Amino acid sequence: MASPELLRGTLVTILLNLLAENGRMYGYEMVQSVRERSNGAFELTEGAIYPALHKLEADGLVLTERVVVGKRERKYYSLTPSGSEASVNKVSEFKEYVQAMALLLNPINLAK
Amino acid sequence: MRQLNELEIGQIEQTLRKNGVGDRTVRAELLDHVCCQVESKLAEGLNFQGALTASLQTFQVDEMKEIQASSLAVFHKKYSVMKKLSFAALITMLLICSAYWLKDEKPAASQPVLKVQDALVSLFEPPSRSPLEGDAEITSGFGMRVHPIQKIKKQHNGIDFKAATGTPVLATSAGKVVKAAFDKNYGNYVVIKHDEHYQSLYAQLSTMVVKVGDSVAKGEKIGEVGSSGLSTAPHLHYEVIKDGEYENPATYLHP
Ligand SMILES: [Zn+2]
Repeated sequence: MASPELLRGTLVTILLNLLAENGRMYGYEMVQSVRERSNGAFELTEGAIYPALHKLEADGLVLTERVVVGKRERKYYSLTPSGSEASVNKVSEFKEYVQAMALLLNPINLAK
Repeated sequence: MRQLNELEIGQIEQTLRKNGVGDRTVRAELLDHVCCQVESKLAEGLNFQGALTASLQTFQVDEMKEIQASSLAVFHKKYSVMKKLSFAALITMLLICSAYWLKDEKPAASQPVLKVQDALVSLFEPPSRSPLEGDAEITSGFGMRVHPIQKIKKQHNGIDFKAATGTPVLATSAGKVVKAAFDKNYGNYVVIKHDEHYQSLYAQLSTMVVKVGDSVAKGEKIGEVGSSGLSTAPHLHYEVIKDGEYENPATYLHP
């Protein structure tokens, strides 16, 4: 079971990848999407996702727009060009890392 | 799904405001989040008050205030919400806190980033790149063909890339070398096992730079193109095997 410390570093990767795949999303939608796609294994907490999104916004990796939906306002996030670039880099970096870790820790059984 | 009305949204906003979520921008965003949660609880059959209570239990006001603090810090705004807290708001907060104390429940010291239950993550992927760098010409495809030397109709279990002797041959995904040997047809050949289903095979090599048991990363050099075995000219014969069956490698050349 992965510790929060271990996963903290991957939160930005998860968020950038979600936005790269879906274009425009709001916070609640991202939480739902991560829960569904991981079959309930990963549950993003609000206390983690919003500060991370605000940091991405301040760093210029995401753009935001406010849209009135029904009787309330919704804040949508989408990637800036540098956000798209960061998403590609982060995802491939992470895949390489995971594969290398798996090779180190859990060698494939050689018996066919 | 039923949408919350203005009155209900107003009530939720008042709750956030009274409990210290004072920044308009942050509050608007978290308000929408809580409203979404409440609407999904309504869909499960709860009434509005029940849905709101349940929602504020999973996403607590303390957490909202932490979000607000970090957001204000990130955007270099002055965090002066505490000064704006009215006496009534302080009483409300005390009541909420005492409710915690009575129930002998304490909010988590630090919120976890993710609640991880039982993640089954596939760590390996099927072959997903070309075994040669750049645009190598495919001179023979997968399927039935007349064999160039034996001159008989035969199934071609892989694809052939035309390349000069010595061209590096690369692992098409991470895995473990399960064969590095010589065969009269394949010549020098390497087999990499990627996961429980996929293996890839690289034949007609001039040299092999890996041995059985080696772990290889995607894109790592495993040998060089040659013309060993049953071959007329330097080329790479490449196979993808899934659960013991030959697949068309042409469909596994890209991520
Ligand atoms: Zn061939």
